[in-house]
Amino acid sequence: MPQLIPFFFLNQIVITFVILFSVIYILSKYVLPSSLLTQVLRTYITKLSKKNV
Amino acid sequence: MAFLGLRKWPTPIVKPLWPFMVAGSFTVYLFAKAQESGIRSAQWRNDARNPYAAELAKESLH
Repeated sequence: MPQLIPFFFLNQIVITFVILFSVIYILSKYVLPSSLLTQVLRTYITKLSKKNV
Repeated sequence: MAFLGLRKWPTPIVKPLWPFMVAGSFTVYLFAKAQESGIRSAQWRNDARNPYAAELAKESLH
């Protein structure tokens, strides 16, 4: 099994952590707050335009 | 700052995630130790794919 060959352990672990960190960073800084704002705005627009909702 | 046209938000990264960064660094250190012991083991020492043939030659000379 190639993952268990010891020459490439450091290679694997560095690539894993670089990918993990960059995905978490991009999602939390750019993507998720924008979609949260979209949902909040949709709720405000819906509730504030209908008085008895 | 923008990334592909999206606005950047001031989300905290280090403040909530520092324990995982510490644990990740420790994991990298453990993997490096495992790799060191693995490439010197009898099973992989003389493998043709071993890219550390130079260290093997140095260790044999003592």
